[in-house]
Amino acid sequence: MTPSTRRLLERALPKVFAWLLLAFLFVPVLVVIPVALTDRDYLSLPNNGISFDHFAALANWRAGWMPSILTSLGIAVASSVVATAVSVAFAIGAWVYVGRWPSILRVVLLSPLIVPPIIYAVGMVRLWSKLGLLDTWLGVTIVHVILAMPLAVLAVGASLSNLDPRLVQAARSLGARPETIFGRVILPNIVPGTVAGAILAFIVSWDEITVTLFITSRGIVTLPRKIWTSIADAVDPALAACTTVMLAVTIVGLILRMTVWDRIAQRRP
Amino acid sequence: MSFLDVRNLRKTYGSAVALDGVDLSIEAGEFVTLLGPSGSGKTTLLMSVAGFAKPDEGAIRLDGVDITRVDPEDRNFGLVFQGYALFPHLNVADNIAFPLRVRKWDKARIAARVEEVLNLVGLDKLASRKPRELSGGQQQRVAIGRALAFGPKILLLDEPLSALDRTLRDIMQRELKRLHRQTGVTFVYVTHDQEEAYAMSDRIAVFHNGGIVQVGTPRDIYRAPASRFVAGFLGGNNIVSARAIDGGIELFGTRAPMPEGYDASRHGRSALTVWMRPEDIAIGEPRPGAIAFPAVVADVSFVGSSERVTVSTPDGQELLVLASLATARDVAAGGKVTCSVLPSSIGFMADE
Repeated sequence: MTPSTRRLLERALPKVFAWLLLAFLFVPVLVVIPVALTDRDYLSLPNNGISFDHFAALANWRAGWMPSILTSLGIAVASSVVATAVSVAFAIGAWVYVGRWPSILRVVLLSPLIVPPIIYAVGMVRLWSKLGLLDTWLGVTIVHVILAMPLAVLAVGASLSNLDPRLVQAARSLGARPETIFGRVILPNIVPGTVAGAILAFIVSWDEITVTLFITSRGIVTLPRKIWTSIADAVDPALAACTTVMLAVTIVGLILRMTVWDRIAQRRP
Repeated sequence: MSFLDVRNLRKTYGSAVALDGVDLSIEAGEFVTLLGPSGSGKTTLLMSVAGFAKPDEGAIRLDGVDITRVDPEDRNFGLVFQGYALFPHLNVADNIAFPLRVRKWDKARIAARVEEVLNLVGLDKLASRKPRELSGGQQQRVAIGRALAFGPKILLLDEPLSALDRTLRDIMQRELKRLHRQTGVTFVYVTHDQEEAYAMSDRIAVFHNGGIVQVGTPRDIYRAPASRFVAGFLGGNNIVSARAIDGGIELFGTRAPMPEGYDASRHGRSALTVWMRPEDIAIGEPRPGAIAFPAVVADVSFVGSSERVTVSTPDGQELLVLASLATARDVAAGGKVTCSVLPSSIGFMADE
C-alpha cells in the first residue's frame, strides 16, 4: 500500500462508517414513505404509479385511525399535564426540604425507568382487574402518568438544581407568601425544564405500547395499539400512511424548534 | 427596654448545641456585629432573629413585643445573604421592586422608591441589568438595596462580604457604614473576620460554642479581651505563660513587680497566662519602667507598614512583635535583641 492510498483510507473510512451508521438509522424510517404511496392493497412498494388512497383511508372515521389518534392525543395530553404538575410539586418540595424522605421518594418515582415495562404490565393487569380499571381511560392515563413521571421529574429537577434554594428564604424575608414565591420566583426560573418535562411526558404516553397492550382490549385503542394490531392482523398500507404523517409532523416540529425557537431565544438575552 | 431583646435563646440540632442560652440587647440604630468562628452559633442567632430558625427555648422581643413565633414574612426585617440570593430572572430594578410589589404598593410609589434605592446603593445606571451581568460587588449592592427597599426595622447581614476580594471588601465596608448612617436602620452583621467587625461595628458580640463570651465596643474588645478564647480568636495576640513569685512576676525569665490588674483568685496563684499586643512590645533600648528581656530573632517578615518579627524568649516561648521599619532595620534572623513591654500593656487571663 502506498502512503497516499493509506492516507486516503484513513480519511475516508471514518466518513464511510459515519454515513453507513446514519443510513442504518434513517433508511428504515424513510422506507415508510414510498410504501404509503403504494397503489396496491397490501404493504408494498408502488408498482404502477403512486396513489394517495391510503392517506384518504386515514381520514375515514370508520377505519379506526382517527379515533385512535384522538384517543392517544387525549391520553397523552392528560398524562403529560398530570405528570408534569406532580413532578413540579415533588421537585420543588425535594429542592426545599433536602433530606432522606425526598431522596427515597425520588427513587420510587424514578423506578419505572428501572423496572422492565413487561413486569410492570403484568402487575398492573392484576391490580386494574381488581379495581375495575382495565380497558378504561382512567386506567390507561394513570399508568401513563406513572411511566412519564421519571422523565418529567428529571427535567424539572435539572432546572431546579441550578437555582439557589435560599431564594425561598430571600423571598420570605422580603414578605412573600408561598403562592407568590411559587408564581413569581420559582416558576419563571423553571419554565424551560417544565416545558421539556411536559414534552417528554407527552412522548412517553404517545408511543407507550407494552403496558397499554396488557391493560386494554376493545374499549381503548391508542394509536400504537392500532398500529400494532393492524400490522399483526392485516397488512393495510394505511399503517405506512399514518407513520408517514407522524414522521412529517415530527420533522416539521424539529425544524420549527431549530429555526423559530432559537430566533426567539436569541431575541431574549 | 432595648429595641431588640434576645433572652436566654436555646437551639439544638440533634445533639449539637447551636445556641446555649444567649442574651443580647440591641438598641435602635445600632450596628452590632456577631463575631465568631464557624459553628459558634452566630448565624443561628441571626436566623432566629430573621425567623428561619425556631429556637427551642427563650424569647426574642422587638420593642417589647414577643416575636419569637412570628413567621419570617411578617417580621419586616431585611436579610442579606452570603451568596446574595438575587432573583435570576428579574433585573436589578425588579429585584428591588419585589418586596414593594409583594406589599401591593401602587405603581408610582414603587417607581419612586426603586429610583431612590438605586441611587442609595449607587446602581442607578445598571437598573435594567440581570444579576448574572453584574460583578460580585454590584450584586451585593442589589441584595442590600432589595433588603432595604421596604423600609425594614432591622437589616440582618449574614457574612455578605466573604465572597469578595480584599479591595472590594474595604469599599463595601465603607459603603455599609455609609448606608447605616444614612438610613438609621439597625444593622445586625455576622462575620468571622475581626477586621471587618472592628471597622464597622458600634458593638461586637463575640461567640464561642453557642454562647456570647464578650460584648463591647471594638476598642474595648481589642484592648481587653475577656478570655483566652477572645484574645486568641481576635488574632495576632501573644498569649504566653508567666509565673507569680513572691508578690512579683517572672516573665520570660525576668523578674519584675507584679503589674496592676492581677487578682490571684481569678488569674491563678502560681502559673499565669498573660497576653500582650504585638505592637506593644518594643525592640531596642527599653523605655523607663518597662520589663526588659533578651531574645533571639527567629524570623522577620515585611508586611508593608511594619515588620513582623518573631523572637524566641530565654524560657523558650515564641513572641510576635510588630516593629516600625526604622527600629527593625538592624534586626535579622539569628540576631540577639533586647525586647521590652510596659507593665500596663500586660493583661491577665482568667484561670480556665
